[in-house]
Amino acid sequence: MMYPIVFTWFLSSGCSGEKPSNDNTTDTSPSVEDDPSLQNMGINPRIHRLTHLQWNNSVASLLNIDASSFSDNFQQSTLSAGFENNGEVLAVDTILFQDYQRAAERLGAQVVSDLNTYAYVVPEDPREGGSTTAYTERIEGESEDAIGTTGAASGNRYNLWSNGTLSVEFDIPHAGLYTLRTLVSGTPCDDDLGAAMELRLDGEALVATEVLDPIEVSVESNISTGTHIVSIAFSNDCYEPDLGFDRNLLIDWIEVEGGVDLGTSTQSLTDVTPWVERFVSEAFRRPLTSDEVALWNEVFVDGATLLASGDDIADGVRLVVTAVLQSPDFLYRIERTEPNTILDPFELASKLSFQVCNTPPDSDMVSDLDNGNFIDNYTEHAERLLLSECGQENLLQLHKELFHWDGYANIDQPDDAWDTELNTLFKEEIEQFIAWHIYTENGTVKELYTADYTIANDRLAALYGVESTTSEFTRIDLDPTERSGILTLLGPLAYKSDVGQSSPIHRGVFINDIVLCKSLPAPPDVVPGLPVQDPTLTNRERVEAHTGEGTCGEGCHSALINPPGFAFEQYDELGRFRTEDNGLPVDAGDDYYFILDGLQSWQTGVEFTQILAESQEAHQCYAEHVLSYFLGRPIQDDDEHFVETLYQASKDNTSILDLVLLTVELDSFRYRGAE
Amino acid sequence: MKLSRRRFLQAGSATLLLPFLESDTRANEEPASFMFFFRQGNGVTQGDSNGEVNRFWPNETGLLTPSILAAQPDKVLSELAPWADHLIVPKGLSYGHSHNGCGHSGGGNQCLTAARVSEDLSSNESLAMGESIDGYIARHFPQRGGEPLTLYTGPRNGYLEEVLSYRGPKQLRPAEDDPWTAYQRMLGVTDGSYSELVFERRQSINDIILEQINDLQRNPYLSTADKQKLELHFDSIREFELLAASLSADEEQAMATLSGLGTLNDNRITIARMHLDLVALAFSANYATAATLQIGDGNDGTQYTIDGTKLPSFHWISHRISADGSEGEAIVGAEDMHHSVDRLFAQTFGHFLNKLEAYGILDKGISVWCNDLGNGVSHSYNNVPFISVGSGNGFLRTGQFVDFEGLTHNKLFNTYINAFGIRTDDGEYISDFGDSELEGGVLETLIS
Repeated sequence: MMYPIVFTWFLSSGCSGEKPSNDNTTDTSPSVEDDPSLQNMGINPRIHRLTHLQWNNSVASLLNIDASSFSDNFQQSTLSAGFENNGEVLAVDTILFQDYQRAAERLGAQVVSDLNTYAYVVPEDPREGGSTTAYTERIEGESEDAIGTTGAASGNRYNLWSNGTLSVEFDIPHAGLYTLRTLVSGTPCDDDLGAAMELRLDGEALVATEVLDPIEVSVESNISTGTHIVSIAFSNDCYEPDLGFDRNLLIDWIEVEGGVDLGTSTQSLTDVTPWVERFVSEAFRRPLTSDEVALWNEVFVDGATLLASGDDIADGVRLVVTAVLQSPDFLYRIERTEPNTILDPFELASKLSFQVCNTPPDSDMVSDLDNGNFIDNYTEHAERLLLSECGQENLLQLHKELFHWDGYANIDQPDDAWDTELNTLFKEEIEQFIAWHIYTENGTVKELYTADYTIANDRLAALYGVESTTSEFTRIDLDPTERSGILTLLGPLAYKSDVGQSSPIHRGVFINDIVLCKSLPAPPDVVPGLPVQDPTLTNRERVEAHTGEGTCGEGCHSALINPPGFAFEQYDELGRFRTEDNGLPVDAGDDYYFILDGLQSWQTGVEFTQILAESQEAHQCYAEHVLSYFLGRPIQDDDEHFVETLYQASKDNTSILDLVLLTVELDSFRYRGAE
Repeated sequence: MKLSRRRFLQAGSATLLLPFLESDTRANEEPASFMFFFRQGNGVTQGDSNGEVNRFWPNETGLLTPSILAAQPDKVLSELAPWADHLIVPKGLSYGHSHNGCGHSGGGNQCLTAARVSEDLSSNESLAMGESIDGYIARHFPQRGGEPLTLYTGPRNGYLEEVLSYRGPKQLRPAEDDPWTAYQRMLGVTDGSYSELVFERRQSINDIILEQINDLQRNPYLSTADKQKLELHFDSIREFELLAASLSADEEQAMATLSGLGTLNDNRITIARMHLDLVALAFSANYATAATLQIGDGNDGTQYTIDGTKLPSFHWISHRISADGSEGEAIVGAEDMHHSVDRLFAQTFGHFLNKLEAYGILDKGISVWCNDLGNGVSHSYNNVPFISVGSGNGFLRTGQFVDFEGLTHNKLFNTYINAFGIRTDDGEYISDFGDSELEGGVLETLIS
């Protein structure tokens, strides 16, 4: 989902690149060279495995192939320290190695099985002739083109009732790797054996097996141009009429498929070797050493032996592609730069591009890297990426993982207003809200928690008690006495609800954990469930009786969890505003001790979110999330002064976009610290 | 870059693998690494009330040594005398629940689940109401796929087919009956593209990757965490190499030749041995944490061939009559036949133990020869044999024959689970595997 953007801050700066709130960012950001105290900056992983999205985008950039059918089925990643891009835990285990290997082998084959793809990947090897369509021909067993030495056609199959062969001529248009395939079945005799069959090419057995139930038997083989005979041989005939047994081999069809026609190369192997260095360098996102160039040229030459299709250049290309896609320099973003130094420009470019956009460096960055201008133009590249579609998607991803909106699909409420479509609408709403807030409004963290609008359609508007006549998502003003920012949108409230009732406990834990970064101790092993709803009590009264002062849950609930949870008691299990619960007045008032701001009290949810929006802790927490996400690792103690920089900027109403720009300009992002 | 895949292992064992050999030396401090159940049906010849005598268990409880077992050649377990020091023979274990109309089905349901038998589904359709131990253990090790290998050799479309492995209540896990298919799946070549050339290409590429990882490891600034990530990547490739390179071309060809024929009676033990070879290989390469192999269908009706003689249906033999039901003509010498089949299973299990020893991993895991009945004639759920080999990396105290006098077998499974380092959130032993109404706990006698 991408929203039409009006870049207010960008336009207001006259597209000069000068930003209103952190225009001195680069200058004020201290560097390790200038400030010895920064020798203790947090340590970033040097080996950072690509996320599946980054892998997918890298393949697309390199091969012009959508490889999501592979990456969607890779070993699933899990959130770690809040985010899926935590480089401290992303690794390659046996399962993922096999996933990568399988994908690399198929993609290598795909590059040389499609003329258009080949032309994209290897423009250094223009081809004459060729076809974008692979050869496929299937001959039915009962057809006249299938010649048996014995037996006869039987229905839609050919029945070899005695030992013999069924043969088909195929006119192979061009040399290449083909798959020979047949569908066969057997009938039993009295010895429990299947029908013994061989699949032969020009008389040579390529595969042998015994069959009873119908089964596809296939084998790959390199075949030269011209006429070839594929035959199926039957060799263990058995006939016991007295016992009612007659073993036959039944052939449904014989098929030959593959044999890519890339046409004819006008180049020699030597002519194409410059491709090797260019391609591998692009895949590794850095220049190669001379040893590496020699190594990969050797791989290229080995292709002719290890694939032996007869097209040596294409074989070399396929082997290089297959190997490169499994290489650690492709699978990981690697930082080899020595400690206490700004990252090598190529490493910094990869870091910026992957962390901001989940993509490898684009052509503009590569151009600046090649001409030595990347570091000088670093900020411009960062701004450009952040404003690009992939940058927007990445910022959405950060907030999706923070606010858990993938979980909205699991909302299930016994309410006439609820159905599964509503879950989808909840998700759409929060996505559009975030996109609008960050990119259209150039909003701040404070406004994230205080905005008096949402982006919704007519069905959602009705739940807000607002009229709307369009099923399209549009900006809708909300009653500022009822709604205040993202925490009072329908989705977050509905997601943190129990069945048929709000959940002050889940909402309170979320506020502590995600909005204030306050660690709560793990709940006890055995937690008695809430008592059933008493019709004479409000939900708050029920929860207080179970977890409030004087109960065993008092320690965590009374002071930490319940107060911020109760603040949202004005919103029911679908996030609708309410003034009564069980016919009794709702009480959302409470107080909470903010470590940095002291005890704060409120009467309504709106008041509470506005306290949050002004609190130092909420800004500090958001700064920690942003820094952690873009560094690709959890926050460390030595990150304190970088968090402080971001936090102060956020408190000073720096926009979220500018906070991200500030983040990628921090030394913590651009430098290796002491190690 | 042109090492063949056979040559790679020779070179690799001396050079490329060197940086990580130290990880192998830590093995004894680690939890058990694999769990295997080798299932025989129809009970064993251990005697019962109709005059038969014990021809299965050793004579006396206590210490087991090769000489002690070898001195009792009339007992089936003497076949396992070479591994006596690694054995645990726990007699007196029972299933906790009755069946629901079919003793074989109910036994299969409980054998690895220690769960109740379904009430709504009965007779041969009954299912277990809980997860099986193989899946339980496997899912605690997602880095090895999180799923158990579930293998079978027996007829299809019969009265009962696979009965052992459950994902959860009534969720029977399908078993693979074709070793060739299972092997190719392990190697990631399921599209018919299997060929020697595929492996040569892989080997060539893996050589490059391993060298690059080694180069990276030499960076002096890598953190311990970064080094561990690279080590994991390296080991993952090495383990996959082992999968791809350990079987000979003849062994591969033998599997390919019998592909599709695993359901045929006369292939039963041959296919079983192929499956066992794969399981041992999978464990040696850390491809899987848990596996099961069921030989024969639920009430195994295989006609085994012993010393060149094809016996009647094993199920008939176990009933001692020429029938699957309770009435039929007596089979002369049925008890002896059953005893010889018991020995055949012991020998086949021994084939697997030999493989584990060859890989040097016998004591790193736990391998169990189990049965879904104690006795075939009575379909008894008492004295169900769970003969284990291997200490689970030192967790179990092996070399002993213990009579538990009627305890339910869930306690044995709790003990196995703890050998894998799996604990409660409080760090306590797991004690509640299986049905919640069974008395929990572990068998302390078996723990080192």
